Amino acid sequence: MGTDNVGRDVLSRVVWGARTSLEIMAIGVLIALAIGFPLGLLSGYVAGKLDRVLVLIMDSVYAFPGLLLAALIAAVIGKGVFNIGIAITVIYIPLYFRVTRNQTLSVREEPYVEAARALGARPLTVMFSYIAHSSIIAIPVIFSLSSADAILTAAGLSYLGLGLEVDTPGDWGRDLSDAQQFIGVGIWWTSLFPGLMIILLTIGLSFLGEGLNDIINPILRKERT
Amino acid sequence: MAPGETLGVVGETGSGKSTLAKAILGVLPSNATVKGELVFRETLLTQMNDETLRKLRGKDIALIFQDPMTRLNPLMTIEDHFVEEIQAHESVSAEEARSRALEALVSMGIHESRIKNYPHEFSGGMRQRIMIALALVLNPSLLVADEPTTSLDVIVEAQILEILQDLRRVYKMSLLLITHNLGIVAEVCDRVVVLYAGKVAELGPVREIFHRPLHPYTQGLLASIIHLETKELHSIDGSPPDMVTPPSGCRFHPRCPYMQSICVKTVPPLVEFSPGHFAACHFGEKFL
Amino acid sequence: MIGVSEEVTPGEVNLLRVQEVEVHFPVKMPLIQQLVSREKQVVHAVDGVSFDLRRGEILGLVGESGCGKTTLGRTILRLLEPTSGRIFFEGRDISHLSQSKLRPLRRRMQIIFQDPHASLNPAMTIGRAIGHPLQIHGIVRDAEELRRAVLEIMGEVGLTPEDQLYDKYPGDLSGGQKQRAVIARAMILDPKLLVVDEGVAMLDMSVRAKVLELMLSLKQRYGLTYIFITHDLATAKFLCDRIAIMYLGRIVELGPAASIYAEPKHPYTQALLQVIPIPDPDKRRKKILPRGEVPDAIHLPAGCRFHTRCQSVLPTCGWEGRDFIELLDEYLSSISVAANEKEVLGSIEEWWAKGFGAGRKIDEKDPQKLVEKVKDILTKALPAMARAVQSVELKGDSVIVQFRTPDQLLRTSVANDTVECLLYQQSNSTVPH
Repeated sequence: MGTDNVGRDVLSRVVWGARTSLEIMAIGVLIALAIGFPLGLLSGYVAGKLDRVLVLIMDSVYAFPGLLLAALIAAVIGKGVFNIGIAITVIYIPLYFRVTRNQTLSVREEPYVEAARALGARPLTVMFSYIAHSSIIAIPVIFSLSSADAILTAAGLSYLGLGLEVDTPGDWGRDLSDAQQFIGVGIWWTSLFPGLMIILLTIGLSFLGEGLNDIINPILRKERT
Repeated sequence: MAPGETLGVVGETGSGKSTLAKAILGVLPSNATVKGELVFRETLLTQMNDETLRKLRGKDIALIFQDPMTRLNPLMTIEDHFVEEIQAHESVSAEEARSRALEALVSMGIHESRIKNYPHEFSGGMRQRIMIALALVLNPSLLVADEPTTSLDVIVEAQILEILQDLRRVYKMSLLLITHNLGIVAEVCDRVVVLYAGKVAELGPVREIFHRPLHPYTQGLLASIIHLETKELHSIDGSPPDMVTPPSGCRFHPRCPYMQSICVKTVPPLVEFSPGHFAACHFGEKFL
Repeated sequence: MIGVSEEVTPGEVNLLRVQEVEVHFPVKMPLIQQLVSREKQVVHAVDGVSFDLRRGEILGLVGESGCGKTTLGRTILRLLEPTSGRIFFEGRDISHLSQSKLRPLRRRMQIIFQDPHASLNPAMTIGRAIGHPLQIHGIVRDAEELRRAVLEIMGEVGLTPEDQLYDKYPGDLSGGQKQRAVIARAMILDPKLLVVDEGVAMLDMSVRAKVLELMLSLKQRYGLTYIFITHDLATAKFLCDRIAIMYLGRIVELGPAASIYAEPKHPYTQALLQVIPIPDPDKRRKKILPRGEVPDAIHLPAGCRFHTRCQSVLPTCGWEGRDFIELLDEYLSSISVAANEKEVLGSIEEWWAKGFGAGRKIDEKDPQKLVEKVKDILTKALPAMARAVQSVELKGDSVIVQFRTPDQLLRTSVANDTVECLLYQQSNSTVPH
């Protein structure tokens, strides 16, 4: 894939960039799941004031343009792989919250949930043993799709120079940003390959999500009949 | 079915009765294969194209369901439902359609003033009446009723059954009543078909079926009815048949107290054991 | 008085005592409406129910949908909290206990729901689902013991072969098997009270008997007490010792099953019995059906709630303004009445009803004509309603129809039953409200 303006091998940078991107994505999306899922479950089950407050907060965050929010957070907490991961987490918590909450709301009124309460199950037991399963089924799909989105967001942040430290090995967004100035003189490989990688990973994750959806949705529908 | 008669189709889970209703109306899912003949007044329904079938549906053959909300559009007033129905089959003015709608509604005991209401503003029993009125406004010669009173309370159910019977007399209409409730079959029907595992187990006049059932399934079903004079409980052993791999020979054999080896090997033919009374059992005459 | 006993030592004979329990649900109104309307609207799901339940008996709660029987069943189990009134379980007042205090009690009272297809967690195997109550209450020590207990109860309810069905999911079972699993799950805790909400209504007829037999045999073996909620009078007669007939949130008749069926006292009970289809084509008969439909539970009829439909209604049963409006509406909607007749009365929107009166402002030159017309309509109404009218007259700028205040409804003992009906009350004098 050639070398860049300071002689670094583009292929190596692209490969390392994959690692970095996946790290960011993993931190971001996994923590979002770990926070959004239980909150959604709790909010949907308990309802009332807690639910209304949480929904208000989550909807506000959700309404905020993702990249902008991440940029703001990154600007505040500083650079680094972990910090970018956190910035991205915040954007995706509302997504997991919403999906889980919706599933919880629809399952909550089922007779078997009321039966669980009649048996004497504590709220936590009811939530995790009787309600959570329907959300868990929907999660992998959301996971893939938000991962795809996270890659783009992370790349966007680095492109803007907000993301990672300057000497982090492999940073697709940053590379794209650096490569911009050379396009005019006909050097296409420093921008094409990082860009191509972003696209490929994003599409790949999207397909994974769609595929999982096709498998899982019939199961969900069957359960409901 | 003869013109003007009420035929009851009785069956439980897996009997195929609802599928039968859908087949008659031509609303089976696309992956269904249909064999055999459905003849309505000399016309072969199974050979018809969609357009002719659609014209027939509603005009000559009408259908009412268990849940009126599957027929009623929540976004349309009752009046609109009628006008749409009438104008789809006859070329009349909206004015005339409206006055016929009014007549139909009032004959079902619904206030004139409510014609502009939406379906959700009526109770379940009233919605069922509206659905019946919609079915009858075009004077069909055959009304297919699929579990019309199953989701209704007993008093409302009695009201609806009374209406169906009156209308049958007035309009000289045939009624195909599909249900699992033998009580209403005894009240309303002239003849009865008992279905089991997708096949006819027994067919005959209502008195014959209730007083001299020939098929062990019919006998078991009648015995398991709980009514006011019930002293002992009876049930049929075993569970509903697996319709993917049904039992061999007579499909009822795993649950039949009179089963013999012939029942496992050979499918029993539908035999007329007494005038008009058919049963698919190798030992039908034992019960005569 | 049969049905409610004050003197019995709590906890001795009566497993359960329900005293004037009410369960009201607020009606959800849009914010604007909430600000504008002064009265808070509630759905009177259960509106003053009292009865005692003796150990070992089967009590039937019978009624149509909307009568409150399901709500009452859930309230007894404290899945809902009563709005007022008291519930005593084994002598203890559980009416307002917190969920954590109720938890240990749940072992002693259980419920079987209506729909076997929706009562089991689709994500749990049958074995795990049935054993879950033991885990919830920390009753067993290890997985071994748990499995043994589950297999044992599965055998008892007829869920065989136990080993095979243990690992199956609800979707693999038939309706009858599912209901057995639900019963096993409830029984594994060894409860004393079992509330069955339409336990067999959704099963095929040929399967019902088996499940009912199971319930009876469990009762024998474990000395259970049942509350059997159903709309099916025939099953209730077979199964129950005593039956309570419910209508719009109240018990209208309560007594031994045999006497309820042999000699139903309340007109509603009589109507219900009459409409049961008899599975014998030779026994077809013409039925006298109650008029109209069940009124909504938010705006209850005055006096006796059944008066709007009762075939034996009296003038003192609770006729009110709304009933007159109903009559008027029917008249004005009738095709067979001439337009000029209707003109005198005006449109239905011009009429108001408040309490025991109804009326409208007059705008024509000859108000007397309106008064005459109203009186004329009343002659065509039910005699009971016509006789309940106190006056039809001109008062100020309106014509007003005024009904007499109804007699107070009391619970009366008649033979073996307790009935709430004016037909059985001795005095017919009006009690001031």
